[in-house]
Amino acid sequence: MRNTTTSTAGVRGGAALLALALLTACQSTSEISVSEAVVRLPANPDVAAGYLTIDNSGGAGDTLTGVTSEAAREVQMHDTVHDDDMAQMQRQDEIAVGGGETVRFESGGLHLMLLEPDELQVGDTVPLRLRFREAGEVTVEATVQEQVPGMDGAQNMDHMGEMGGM
Amino acid sequence: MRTITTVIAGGLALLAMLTGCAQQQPSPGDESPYNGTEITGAFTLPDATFTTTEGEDYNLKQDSAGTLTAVFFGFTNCPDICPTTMADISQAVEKLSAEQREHFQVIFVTADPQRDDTEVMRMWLDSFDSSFIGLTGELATIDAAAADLGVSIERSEDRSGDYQVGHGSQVLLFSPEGRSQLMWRYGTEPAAMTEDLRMLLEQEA
Repeated sequence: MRNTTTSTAGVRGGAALLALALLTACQSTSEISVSEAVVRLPANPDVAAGYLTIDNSGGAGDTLTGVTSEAAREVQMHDTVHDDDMAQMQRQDEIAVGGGETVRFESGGLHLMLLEPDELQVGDTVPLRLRFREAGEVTVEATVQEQVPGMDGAQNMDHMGEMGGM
Repeated sequence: MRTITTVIAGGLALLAMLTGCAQQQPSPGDESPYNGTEITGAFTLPDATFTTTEGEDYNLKQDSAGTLTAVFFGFTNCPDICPTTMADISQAVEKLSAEQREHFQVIFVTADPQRDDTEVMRMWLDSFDSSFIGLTGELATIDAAAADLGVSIERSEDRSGDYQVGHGSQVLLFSPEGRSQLMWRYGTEPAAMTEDLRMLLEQEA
């Protein structure tokens, strides 16, 4: 069963991880932390995208079973599946976060979809409550960012600077 | 008919992918100066009439004549791909000179006319660049135009509630004569777009 290329260190490391996993399992906790949470200022007021990073530093796997927020009617989890040039969103009921794994919600892949969000402004924070099967609820404050990086509102100052150029 | 178009589009997409790969490792005989994938003459803007966000008729072929034109199909309830693409293009456009901007336009065609009325679309586009043109029309007109341009659209049968629309995520660039020139895949960096636009605009000048 075990891969033949496993080194002694690997075995030791594996044993340590296994022990940690067992220990963690006994305590029925996983070490979940959520960071880099942002919500992008919606261009259509009905829907905003959210991105974040989930770290599970524990040995046991966990599962994200849903997200809610006071600042939106509903928060859905979606994955963008690229098939040739076709982008299709697929709603996810749960997201597995294995022991020692990092799962990133980022543009072009997994993302949160906030339906009917409150009126948001750049710099606001939005609480996101993530429900994990093992770790329970983890709340993170997501920062609201503009649609176009470095752009605040309609036009960028950059524009003016380059007007006479070229 | 539709099936054949889809198959051809699929073949072209595959070809484009292969070309795209080749571009990253330039080999003799393939020295495309562009960041996007060259699709010269593969598609032609169809003679199809839509409605702008201002409620005016817009014929994709005739009304875009004389201007380098980028076309993207999407929908405003799309939280990730569409706003990211629009934001990337708007950043690319910002880096052009005022004169260059006069010779380039961006057209967003909604793949979801049921929810994207002209008001929503205008507001949505204004958050990226108020010069972007938004087009809507009959489902059949939109789907036919998309198929003509090798862009796939998948709409769920049940369009109630928070439905999603699958759509081709590529941006297509057309010459002032309406012939396809370049395709930018999703994730093309704004700086790469700017480089391509400058090159194309210099050629036209």
